[in-house]
Amino acid sequence: MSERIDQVGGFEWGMACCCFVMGTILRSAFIIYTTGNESWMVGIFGAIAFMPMAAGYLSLLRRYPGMNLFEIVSAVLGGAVGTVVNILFVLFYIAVACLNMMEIGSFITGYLIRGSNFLLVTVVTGAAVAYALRKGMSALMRTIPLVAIIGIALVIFSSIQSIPESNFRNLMPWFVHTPGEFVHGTLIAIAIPYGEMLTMFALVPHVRSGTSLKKPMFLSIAFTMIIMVVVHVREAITLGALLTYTVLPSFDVYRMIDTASSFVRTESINAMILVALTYIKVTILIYAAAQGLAHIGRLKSAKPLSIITCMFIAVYAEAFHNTSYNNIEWSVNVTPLIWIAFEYAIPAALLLCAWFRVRAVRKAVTL
Amino acid sequence: MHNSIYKYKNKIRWVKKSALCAMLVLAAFALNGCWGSMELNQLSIVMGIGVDAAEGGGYEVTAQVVRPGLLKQSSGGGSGSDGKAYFNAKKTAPSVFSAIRNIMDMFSRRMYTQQCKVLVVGEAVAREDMTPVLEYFMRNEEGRMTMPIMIAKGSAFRIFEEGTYLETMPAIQLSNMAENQKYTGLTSYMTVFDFLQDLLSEAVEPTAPIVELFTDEQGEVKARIGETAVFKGERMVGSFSADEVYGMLLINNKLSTGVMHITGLGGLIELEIIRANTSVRPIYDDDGFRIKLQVRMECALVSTTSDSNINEVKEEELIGRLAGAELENRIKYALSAAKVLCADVFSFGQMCYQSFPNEYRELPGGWELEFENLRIDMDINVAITATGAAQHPIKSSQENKDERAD
Amino acid sequence: MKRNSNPRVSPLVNVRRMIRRALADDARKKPADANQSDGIPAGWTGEIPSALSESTAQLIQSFDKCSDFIIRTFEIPALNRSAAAAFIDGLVKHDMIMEAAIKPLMIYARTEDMRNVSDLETVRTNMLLSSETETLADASTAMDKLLHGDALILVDGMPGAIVMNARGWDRRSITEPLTETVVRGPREGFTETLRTNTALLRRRIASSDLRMESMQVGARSHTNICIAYMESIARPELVEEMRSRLRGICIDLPTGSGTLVDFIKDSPYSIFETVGYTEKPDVVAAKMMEGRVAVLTDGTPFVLTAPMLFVENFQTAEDYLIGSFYATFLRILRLISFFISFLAPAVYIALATFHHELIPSTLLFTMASSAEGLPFPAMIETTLMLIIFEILKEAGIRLPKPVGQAVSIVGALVMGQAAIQAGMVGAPVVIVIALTGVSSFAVPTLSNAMSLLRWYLLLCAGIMGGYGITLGLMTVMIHLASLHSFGVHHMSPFAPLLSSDFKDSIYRAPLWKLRDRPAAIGAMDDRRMQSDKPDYR
Repeated sequence: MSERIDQVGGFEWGMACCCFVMGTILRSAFIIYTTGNESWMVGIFGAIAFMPMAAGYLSLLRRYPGMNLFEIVSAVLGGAVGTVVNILFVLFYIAVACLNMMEIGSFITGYLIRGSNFLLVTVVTGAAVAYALRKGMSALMRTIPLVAIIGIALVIFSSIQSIPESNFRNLMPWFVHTPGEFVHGTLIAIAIPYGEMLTMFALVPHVRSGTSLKKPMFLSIAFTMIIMVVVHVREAITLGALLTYTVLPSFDVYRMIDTASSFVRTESINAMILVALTYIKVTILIYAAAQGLAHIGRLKSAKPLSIITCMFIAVYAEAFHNTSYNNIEWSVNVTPLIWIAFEYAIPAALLLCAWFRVRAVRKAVTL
Repeated sequence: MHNSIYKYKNKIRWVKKSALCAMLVLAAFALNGCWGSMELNQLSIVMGIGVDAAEGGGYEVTAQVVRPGLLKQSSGGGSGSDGKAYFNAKKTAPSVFSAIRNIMDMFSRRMYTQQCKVLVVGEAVAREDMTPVLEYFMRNEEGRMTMPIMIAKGSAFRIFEEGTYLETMPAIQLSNMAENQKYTGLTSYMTVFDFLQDLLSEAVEPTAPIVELFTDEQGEVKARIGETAVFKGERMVGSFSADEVYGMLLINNKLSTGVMHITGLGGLIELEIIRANTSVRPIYDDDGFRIKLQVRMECALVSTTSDSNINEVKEEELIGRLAGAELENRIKYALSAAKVLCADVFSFGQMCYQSFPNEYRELPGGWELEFENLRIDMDINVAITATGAAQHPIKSSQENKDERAD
Repeated sequence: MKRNSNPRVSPLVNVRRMIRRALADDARKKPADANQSDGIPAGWTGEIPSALSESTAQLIQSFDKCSDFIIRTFEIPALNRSAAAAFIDGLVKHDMIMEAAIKPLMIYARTEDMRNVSDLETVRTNMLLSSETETLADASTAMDKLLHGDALILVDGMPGAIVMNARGWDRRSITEPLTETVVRGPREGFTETLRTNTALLRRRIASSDLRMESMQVGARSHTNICIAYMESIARPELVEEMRSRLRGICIDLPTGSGTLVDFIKDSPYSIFETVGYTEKPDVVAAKMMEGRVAVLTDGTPFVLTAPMLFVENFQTAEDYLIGSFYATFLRILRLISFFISFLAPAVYIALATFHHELIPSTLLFTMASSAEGLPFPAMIETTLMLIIFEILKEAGIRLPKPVGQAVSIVGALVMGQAAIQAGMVGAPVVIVIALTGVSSFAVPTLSNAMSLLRWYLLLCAGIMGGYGITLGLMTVMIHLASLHSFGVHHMSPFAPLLSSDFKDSIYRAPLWKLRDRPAAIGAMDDRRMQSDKPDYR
């Protein structure tokens, strides 16, 4: 990128990875749909299963330091094939951004502010995202640690508050789910919360060159695994039999907190933080999509595209707007396959190609 | 020259952009209606909801709504509608949701149920089917599932309408009454959420407190919480009296305070419960399921009419054992009452399922059959840890005085 | 200038290019020339002629119609020449000129070695008694010094002029600064005279390491300014950046240091201050010790310090003089009042119009009963009361003192109370606005920015309630995180999270723990305390 980039450190990048996963906690119904009260195990399995994938990402990044995903694809595959793969990735990012925008919109119009207009919510969010993009991703990455810390504190605080309402025996029937359901749950876990970390490739040019991304990534995986386990355990022990009945389990936990013992009804405040995290996620996704478009169109900077992309996604999110049950159904059955193809299959292929190319070059040199 | 023209054009463009933004923002103000914002003086705040069965099918829903302007003036309920800070609106409709919606044809303001404090269900509805009522509250994002649920003896409308109450509104008093039951041990405290949880769990039967109207000596009609309704699935099958409920609360570890009377040692001894902890453990052995019940209680001696010197350790232990025997009786009483109604209100079945899911599923005849013949091993230990501020009971010193007088 | 051909790039690019080019041009020119660009009359230029009649005639012509310009001609018997003293009445002390220049020159007796004196330098070193003298050959420099309060001595037959320091004008005495009062601590404040201010600084830092570079800003006013910094602590790049930005200012008259700020700050469109200002010398001294650069301007008691961090808004001089626990408590209190001052109206609107479930029932009843019969929706009420509050505040500042108190009493009590009783606004709104107003004065440097930010967040809350506030806060945070102040991130240590700098941000660790200078500003010499022990204790 030829625009001057104000760089951040690895800590901010790691926190951005954490934010990414925490933004999906709002929709933990996906995993609970398959494994019910044993979702916390899936959280652990998912994190463990993701680690080799993360190692693969990192080795790809190490071969092409300081380049974002699109540049890497062009460098490895080159020419027309690279452009086609880049277009596919851009479509992937647009789809994920639309889905997340739709989640914000449906959450706010359904739960927080009933009676508001879905399009209005998404357009206002799109305007805020456009502002964040114009200010530059470095500014956003500098604010992310603060938001993440507030989010984590609220999760912990509300978990402690919900303990009086909880019954630890609700975790109990262990291993009643079949291994197939566990595998399904793990696939969902690595596809949706963890796998979308692929987007963090787009932010790599903003990290100060020379910082190793290994420690931030693995620490953030470990940390988000802990948060995810805490959240799922909290939902299982508080909601009990209602776990598989509710659409937004984590939000319902907040509503159960006995308000007599807490200072203020905390559900809306917790909801705000979760929506703020999803907002950060949407910003990063739209930035990745705009970067991809800029790279394909060989533009010098993605800034002119930012407003257009934001408005497009804000309006197009309405197309993904469904009933909550349909959304869960689709996300559980269809999404993991598509996402895995993008998040793991293609980068694995890229890694192999990159490895083969290096071998070919080395062979050519030694001959 | 060329520069200044270009700067001028750029400035025009910038001015146009900001003017457009400003117009959009101002227009946004005008569109206040489509944003779900409601002014405080456009709300009618519903504090209590009552559901009764209407004649000829359908439901009759009562909503108790606040009159904010009159809140300052009335604090005791007066008869007649002027002076009361609330009014009850009633509506009949085929389903609960349409009844609640149709109540609005009497209101000049939008209905706001998020501050609802209590849900009272009439006995007729409870005996028939509770699910339609609960389904509405579970699915509707506006309903609060943390409000207490009560069954009305008779009709819910009468509970809201008649009866004199100390608080500003009947709904608030009913809600506080229900919450107080956590500390009295007379009945259980159930929120809509707890009720739903019990209903949806496999082998737990829900209970709910019953509220009734009674006329006291001065002729005033008041409401009180008396018995506890017992459900089997979604319909009410019977009720427990206060004595039967005592054992149930004890087993469910919900008894935090209460008073126990023991007859023994030549008099009546009263103990107050400081701390009670019950742990239930399911065991599966060759003969099937068994429940191990362990009760640990700490009591304080409140008063005694016996004359023995209670401060001796032996006497304290004796009282503890007597108390333990009393508790065992109560638990057996509750168990037998539950077995009569065939309702497992103690969540034994849930615990057995959680610990031994496979054996549970293989039960022939289901949990009901097993519950009939369930064996319970009780291990009860009551310790007297406080005897108050007196050294001897009054009776004993009386006797000593008589002896000395002789 | 290269045309900005890409319409999508911001029009601000042209302004930036202009400034950059002007800086580059000025770096090539001499400072004196930079102020003499087109259209400004030059005054007395060239070499000072040796003939007295010529030089005095030129001076009189330059100062035509200036009634405060005085030329006093006299004879120097010792040299047998005539001479003249030129000065501006009101800027000089007549006694000093008489005692130090005219008297010795007129009264000295003739001695043998005086006969051959033919250059001003000898006259200056041997015959003048004044403590600060200089010989000049250039007329424009001489005129500049004359206009700043020095006196010129011209001698017939010797080219050039002697400049002697005779400054003495009426100045405000050193008083406690009105804007920054402390309970415990020094009460000296800067005045409008540059030399007094530099002296106040010099008294606090008795080190030759404290450099005071002099410059002139203002194409027609030739105002003296002074860049002060510690040479071994401040980064040379920082000082050079400050120098080049100040040199690029092409304004007629800087009325106060705030004018300079507008030209040198990094984000011209932001409402937040990125250049600090203060009236107290001890604050400036402490800030220079952390590696900052200070700019003193003649004619204003406010001294600028750069770079500025956002946390400095919450730090006062007194924090370091009272105990560390109480100082921490006060800082947190200021932070809380900061949040109240810009969030309170927005949160009230969000609660009262969108999120009624967050309010406890009894409070909701009270608010509902006080909202009965009110004509306006809550948003309009709040806007109205906020406007009235701002009017009261502004009127209170502008009115003369005796009337000011009446205005506040009338405004606050009568209008507020009467409006509530007439049923035009509700009591909760008045309470919220009063709380907002009071808490905005706890953090005075941010109160201007808060007054504006309040409106923005109110708008956000009115559009979308709690979610609007969330988005508004996020955008404000992103805006703050993108601010730079002379190359330093404005939100350090929060935005790039620097844990080492936390010791002096929201809480104030005891002074013996503050071993290093803040890493964000970057200093040449990191260690504040030269002890080897990790903690002083």
